[in-house]
Amino acid sequence: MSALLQAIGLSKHFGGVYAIRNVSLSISAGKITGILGPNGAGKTTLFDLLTGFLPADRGEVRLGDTLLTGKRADRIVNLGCARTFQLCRPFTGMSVVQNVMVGCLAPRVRDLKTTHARALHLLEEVGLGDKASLPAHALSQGDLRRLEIARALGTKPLLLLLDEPFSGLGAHEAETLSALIRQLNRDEGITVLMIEHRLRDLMLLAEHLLVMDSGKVIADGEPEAVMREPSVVAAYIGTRENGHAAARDTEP
Amino acid sequence: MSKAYANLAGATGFMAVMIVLPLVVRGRYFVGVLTLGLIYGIWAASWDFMSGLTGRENFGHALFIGAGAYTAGFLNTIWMANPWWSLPAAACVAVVFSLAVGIPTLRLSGPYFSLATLAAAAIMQRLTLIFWERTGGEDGLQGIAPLLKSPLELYYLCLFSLVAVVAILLAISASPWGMILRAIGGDELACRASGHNTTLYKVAAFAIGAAPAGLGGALYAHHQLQVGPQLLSVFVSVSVITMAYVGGIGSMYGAAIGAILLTVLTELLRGAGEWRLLVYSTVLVLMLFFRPHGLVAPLWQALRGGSE
Repeated sequence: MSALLQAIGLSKHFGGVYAIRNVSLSISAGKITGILGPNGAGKTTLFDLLTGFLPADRGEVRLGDTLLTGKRADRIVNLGCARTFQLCRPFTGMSVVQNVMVGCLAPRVRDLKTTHARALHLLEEVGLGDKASLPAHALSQGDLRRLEIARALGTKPLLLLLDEPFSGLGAHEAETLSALIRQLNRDEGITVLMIEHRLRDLMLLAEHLLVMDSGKVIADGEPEAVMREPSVVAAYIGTRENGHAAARDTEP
Repeated sequence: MSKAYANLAGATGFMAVMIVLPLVVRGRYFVGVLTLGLIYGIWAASWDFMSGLTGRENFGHALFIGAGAYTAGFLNTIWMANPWWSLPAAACVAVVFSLAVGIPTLRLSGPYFSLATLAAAAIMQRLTLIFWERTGGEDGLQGIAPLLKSPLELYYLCLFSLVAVVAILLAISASPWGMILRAIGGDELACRASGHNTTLYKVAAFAIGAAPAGLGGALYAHHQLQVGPQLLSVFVSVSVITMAYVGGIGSMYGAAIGAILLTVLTELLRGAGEWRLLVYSTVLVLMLFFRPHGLVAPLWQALRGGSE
């Protein structure tokens, strides 16, 4: 497997505190990779560095052969690297389909004649076809997640970065979202990198797992193997718990 | 489709009323008040285009208004140019000012943009007093030539300008371009995550909104036949914002009609003497309290049935 996204020696500090410390990673094309870690481990900061929403202090990021470091966030999106946010950020005051159209209007993929049709098609794909003309603020949390994903898909990403897509979702909503992510990965060949707290959902989806703690990557590999590593068990689940028993629990 | 027809009918009705009004209610004074209302309409609609759509509030629209009016004044009184040159020149100068203020401040998040616009207009007002030998100081520039022979002709020129400006701004706001501006207003970070260079869009929208403001400034100069530093004051900026709020933010036509209504209301209250400001302020406060989304545009949408 070739690496689609590669980061070498990324660091970022806020004041005297390192949020990210010398992180290197390599995301294989065509896979679903999960990032796991306790609160404050630096997962979202890592996303911000990868997508150009924050400048890195040191290190570099490449998408294929293209250097992303130093590029503006909107340029990085147009190179094929789209993201969603931990808290849904719909465009208030606009309809659901208009929200997705804004993604479809990204300069790299813009085609004014088909924008509306493409947006409707994407809404069908994520299961919001019947809600296209509703105002965005009328959607439930689960629907907002799917709206965010549809908007990101509008930019035709090679790599989709999802920041805690399951947070705030009920079990049923999480299941349909899992199915959607798997379908995007399998049928459309979109590489997925996702941060997730909910172990069970992540273990079912991810083919590769990175575990972060205190701004560093402490484990990297096959999910089953990674979850057995003592350092992971200690950092994420706690020292007294048995890795397997805890892995079956879903974080509240 | 029926909404499009309703909008067309509404626009036609508005035009008909505005064309007939000065013919029915005669009198130089009343035509003058209505002309001022139309000019304020251009200012309020142009403010609404940038600030209403993107949500970045410009507290110094008077900078563009004043820049346009002084451009007309200088051209006319010092260089003795044909008054018609004032209109394009004023729009261009306003755009240059908007780029000078917008490029450094619109890339920043937070209140910097609003503060910078507020400060820029205040500085410009100060400069007109400091360089009083050229600008006439407090007295301003006097003896500006009229554009047209009669006040009624100027009224119709202003009406045409207002309708043209609102039509152009509405066309842009209905285009994909306008959709991206609205998305910036909805959530700028998410708009950037959708692949749009939001800074560029904001600067462009600021410049597009500045041009009609400058044009309106030139019309004002040729209407009043003089320009003074009070045109650059915070009072003008805030009046324009108030008018846009009364009209309904982000609608442009609402801002324009709100401006006409408030200008006429101010004049009608002149009879109330000292009570004028109190009545005016009370009306505004009550309105913003009970109708925070404004009056004109929401009312029209309710009449027509459904928004957008």
